Amino acid sequence: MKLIIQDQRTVKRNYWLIKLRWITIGGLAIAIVLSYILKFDVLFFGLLLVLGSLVVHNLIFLLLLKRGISSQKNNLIPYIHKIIFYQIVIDLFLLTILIHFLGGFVTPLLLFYTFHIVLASILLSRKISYLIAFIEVILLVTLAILEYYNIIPYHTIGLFDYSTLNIKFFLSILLIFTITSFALVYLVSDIALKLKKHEKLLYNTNKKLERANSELERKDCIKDEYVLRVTHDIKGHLAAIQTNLSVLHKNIAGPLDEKQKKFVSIAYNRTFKLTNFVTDLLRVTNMRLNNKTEKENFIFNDIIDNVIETIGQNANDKNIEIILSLNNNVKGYGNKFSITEGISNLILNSIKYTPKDGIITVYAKNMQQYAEITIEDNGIGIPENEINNIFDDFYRGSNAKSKKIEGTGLGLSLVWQIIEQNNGKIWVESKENKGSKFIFSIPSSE
Amino acid sequence: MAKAKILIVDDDLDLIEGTKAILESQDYEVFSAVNKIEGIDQIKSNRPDLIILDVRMTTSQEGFEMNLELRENPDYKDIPVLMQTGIEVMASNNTIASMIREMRKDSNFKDNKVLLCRNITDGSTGVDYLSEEGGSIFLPVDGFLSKPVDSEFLISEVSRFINK
Repeated sequence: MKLIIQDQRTVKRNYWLIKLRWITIGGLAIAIVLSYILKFDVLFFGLLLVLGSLVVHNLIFLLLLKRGISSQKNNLIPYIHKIIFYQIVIDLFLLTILIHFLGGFVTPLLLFYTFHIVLASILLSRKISYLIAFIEVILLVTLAILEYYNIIPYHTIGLFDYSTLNIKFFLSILLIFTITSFALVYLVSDIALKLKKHEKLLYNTNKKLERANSELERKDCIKDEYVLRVTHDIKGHLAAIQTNLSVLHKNIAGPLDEKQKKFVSIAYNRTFKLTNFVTDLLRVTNMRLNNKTEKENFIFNDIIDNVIETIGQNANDKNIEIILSLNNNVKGYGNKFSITEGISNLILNSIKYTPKDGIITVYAKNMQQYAEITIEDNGIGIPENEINNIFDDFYRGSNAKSKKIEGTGLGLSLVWQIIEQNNGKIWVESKENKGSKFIFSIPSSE
Repeated sequence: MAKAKILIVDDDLDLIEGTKAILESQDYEVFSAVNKIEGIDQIKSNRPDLIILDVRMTTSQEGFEMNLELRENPDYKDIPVLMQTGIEVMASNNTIASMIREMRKDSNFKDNKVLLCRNITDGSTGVDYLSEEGGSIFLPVDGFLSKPVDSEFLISEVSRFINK
């Protein structure tokens, strides 16, 4: 079964108490053996009785605690507080008997009572702790009276002087003891309360933060799902529009006159662009929604060759030369498919923003832990103050816009997304009118 | 010689209309259906030489289900099927394998409708998907068209399967 945090803490504390008692039992056992070896004049029967009782007592409460954890699901905390209270009362009682066997009211062993007071103040409420202190005083008074009036016999162990024992001495010890006990309860429970308060505050703050965080994540997810849904539907409509327009545009439904052709062309081209835009948006959103990607080892050289083969024509169309400067066997680890897409997008991007007869250079370097890929062009570049925005969704460089170069503003954010998902880094160095250099690194192995 | 017959199964009537015009201009005889049941009726009465099949119609996997039924039917299993989907497909030199991998990432298919590609021994490709009942079904596929389909690409894909 699962316990909630507060229950867990309470249970842990009782286990702690039981552990402390085992230590006490061990200590007492050693003391008995030592006093036997050193031939102290003590009543061994009495000490063994206390020792045995302590063992039985500890075992019984261990059992009660375990039973409580499995049966008291709703009232676990009050239940444990109750058994802790009984444990401490019985501890006090057994200590009183021990004190009786070890010299009675006058032994300094009386100080051991303070342990119980401190423990009660830490583990239980303040009221109950005062009650424990009160019980302790009563036990002490009872012991003193019983011994003083010889109702039960002294067990002197020969260490203490009983000649000074009189009513004044008795009362002064009792008074000091009572004050000490109650003051201890006051002080310790005060500290314990403050601690508890802080713990609770911290716990609540953590809870609130967690809630706020998961709420944010949920909203972000809803937003993305929504975008996906909407773009998917938009795409359906666009597909129908584009296909039907192409019937006109390609003169399938018969020839159009110049004027008709002009307007159909505009409509067809705009639909085409809108479709590209929606497609990019779908890709970015999909990428964001799907964090799980299958990763594998691959060689960058293969990917780059592959990309160049596919998009080489785009460069040829603008008479742009693509130079490859690749180390041998540049290893990478990631989703080969999306990285191919990323490199393809970066090179297409360079082709787009590089004027005719330009040069694009692709570098692939084998670094120690990672591979570094650079795509450098001598195109229009990025204005210095815009470099930080270049990977944002929908962001387009002002010079690209003013030169009327078409784009969705999503290409680079897709690349960013891809590199990020493959545990890589991407950055850009660029000078306006000189060219841009996109550099990314990808781990070279798992 | 009789015209080659093509069946388009898609729930978007407007899209059918345009596709039909494009194909008819290439001298194909085109029939259409908007769902699986109609599609199978059309196959029975017209016996097409090629089927262009949308994936998501009334249900999200209807196209796959229909394709599966055809594959299990000895009379129809040899009719080539071009699956047409609106699902995002990567640019670059896509193989069918990579397309299917992309489809697996689509949130519409992500959870209970996982698609897998398998290169079977004879080199052909197909779809492996988890059906609504939870079983895994393998489906040979002859080709994919990604929506929106460019008219020239459509014509060239279609001619791969029909020798006039």
